[in-house]
Amino acid sequence: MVLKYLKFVVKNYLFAVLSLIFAIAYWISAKELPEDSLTFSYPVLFCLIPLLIWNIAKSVVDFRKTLADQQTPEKEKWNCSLHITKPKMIVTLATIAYIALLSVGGFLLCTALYLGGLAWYLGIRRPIKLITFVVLYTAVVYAIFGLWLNVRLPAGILF
Amino acid sequence: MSDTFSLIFGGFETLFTLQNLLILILGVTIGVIAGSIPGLSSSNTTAILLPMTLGMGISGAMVFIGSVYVGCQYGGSIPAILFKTPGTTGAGATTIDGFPLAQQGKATFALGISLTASCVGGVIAALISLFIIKPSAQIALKFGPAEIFLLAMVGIAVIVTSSEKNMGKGLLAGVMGMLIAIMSADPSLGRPRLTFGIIELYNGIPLIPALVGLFAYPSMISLVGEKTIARNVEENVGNTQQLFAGLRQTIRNFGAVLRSSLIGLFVGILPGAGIDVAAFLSYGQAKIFSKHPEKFGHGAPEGVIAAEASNNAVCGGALVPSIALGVPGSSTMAIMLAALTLQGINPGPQVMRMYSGEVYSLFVAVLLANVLLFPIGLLYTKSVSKLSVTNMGYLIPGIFAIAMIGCLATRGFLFDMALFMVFGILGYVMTENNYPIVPLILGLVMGPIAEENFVVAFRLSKGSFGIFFENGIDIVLWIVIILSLVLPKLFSVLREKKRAKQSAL
Repeated sequence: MVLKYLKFVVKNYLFAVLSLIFAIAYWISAKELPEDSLTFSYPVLFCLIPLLIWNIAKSVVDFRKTLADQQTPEKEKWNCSLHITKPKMIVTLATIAYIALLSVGGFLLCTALYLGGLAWYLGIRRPIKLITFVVLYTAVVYAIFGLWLNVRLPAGILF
Repeated sequence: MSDTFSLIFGGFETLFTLQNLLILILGVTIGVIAGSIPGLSSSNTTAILLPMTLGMGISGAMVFIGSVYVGCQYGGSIPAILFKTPGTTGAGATTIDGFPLAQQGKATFALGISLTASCVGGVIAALISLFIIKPSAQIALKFGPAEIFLLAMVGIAVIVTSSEKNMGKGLLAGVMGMLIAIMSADPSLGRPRLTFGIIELYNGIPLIPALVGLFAYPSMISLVGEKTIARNVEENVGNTQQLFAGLRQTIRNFGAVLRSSLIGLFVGILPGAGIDVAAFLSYGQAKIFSKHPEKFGHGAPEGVIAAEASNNAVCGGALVPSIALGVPGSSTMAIMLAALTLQGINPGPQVMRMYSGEVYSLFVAVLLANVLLFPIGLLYTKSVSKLSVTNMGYLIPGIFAIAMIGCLATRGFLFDMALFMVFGILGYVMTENNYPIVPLILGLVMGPIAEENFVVAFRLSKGSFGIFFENGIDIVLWIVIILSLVLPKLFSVLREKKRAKQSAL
């Protein structure tokens, strides 16, 4: 039953759980601060308490309704995957890797690899189209941000 | 009154030189293109182009910055509608109904609505501001920290109305947005609060990575596996007829355009309130007064009209405190004042007296920029709207790459790209859990404004809450807050009664 409730919460109320953790962290860190720093923070935190209680209570009520629901298949009721499919995971991980490696590989290399790799994975398989897209897009973005707007794009440690 | 008319005619005279007209066209074009690139706000763009204004003369410099400002506000709606990625912070409210329209295969129609609403809303506000520069500057002076705080509370009340069906979840998202927004150094003592020792958070969460992450990431990631953004292609994409259908739709909703442009003008006049505040306030009010509020969030044209009319109207309003008082009404206006300084003019009330021709030429330029926006926007939009039927294999990596580089361009910190991902994943979790994202964004926008002004007002009153009820403006704002909370429910009950009566007949 506890496991089912946890699955239900992840599927429907995970944001409330994250909010609760964040609020607790804020409250703990606020104890070290003078009152003047928290003139506005305390009223906001106090507003949060009844809302969190409401969300927790609603999660219990909705959980009991779901338990009683005879029409929805069991698999669908307790599926807490948040619709995270393999392609979505790969796109997300690729994006995280791009951000992490940008300062190492530099803008030109990392952007070209990111664009090319993801475009290929998402179905652009013709080499000419792929290369044209990667080269043109990287060049245009570099021209706009790096040359025209003078944004300091990472050069990387390899070059 | 005859004085005002002669000043306005003087403004037309100063503007109508070949150089100034060419600068006007260039400014609008650059603004539209720059605004359509996520991360390039009007303040970034004008700051970068500031050195160009040195050789333009006083009038040319003001005309250039004013026209870029106008162009950017419309430009920001293009990626907002096509990719749910606001190009500027003012286009955040446009994504809510603009993107669902694109998914229905009506991207060109939505862009036509956005273009017309921007032009008409901007023209109305610019026309009115021509006549009310002096009296509205006096009203702006009466808005102290208590009044600005109450205005932020009006925005919070909009959070409640924007999540009518799921109020508990909406309120939690809104209050969490405010709590996240005040993860920064506190405004009075500068002590960092929950910044985890990260120096980049000292000034708080930057709005662009948060907005772009919350909107763009969940929508694009959910399209992995789809062929194109438009699920049903019901029209010839980029078709001029669809653009003009958007024009006709906007004119049919002229009441919404007028209301939204007045809201934008009013918010623009108040220093510090911001284009995003105007857009969301206007969106919320449009939903309250709509005959079909249930359509909002699912592709209601009125939602796009309200957001776009008000964000362009802010341009006219923001000029008022900037020029009449020397107090910038927005960050772009701060760049305008910097441009004046470069021309050897000290911003302040004396500018109106000593350079009245140039000042009025600026207001006339903003008026004409909103008119010119239509043909320039039309040409740009026709080609850009075809992106709604482009293969996602190109769009997803392209949009993510430009969104992340746009986040990097805002402050130059790689940390902002990481923030994009954090907010992106948060937005995805919220979407899957049926928590509305708009209240979180409203909280992020309103939180710093509300805190700064609340703290100052509280200090001024030595801890008394009476300061929030002191004068007529405060009472009016409290009435607006109460009406914003009560009216949606009242209208909903009246609509239900009307429907029940009609079905009984």
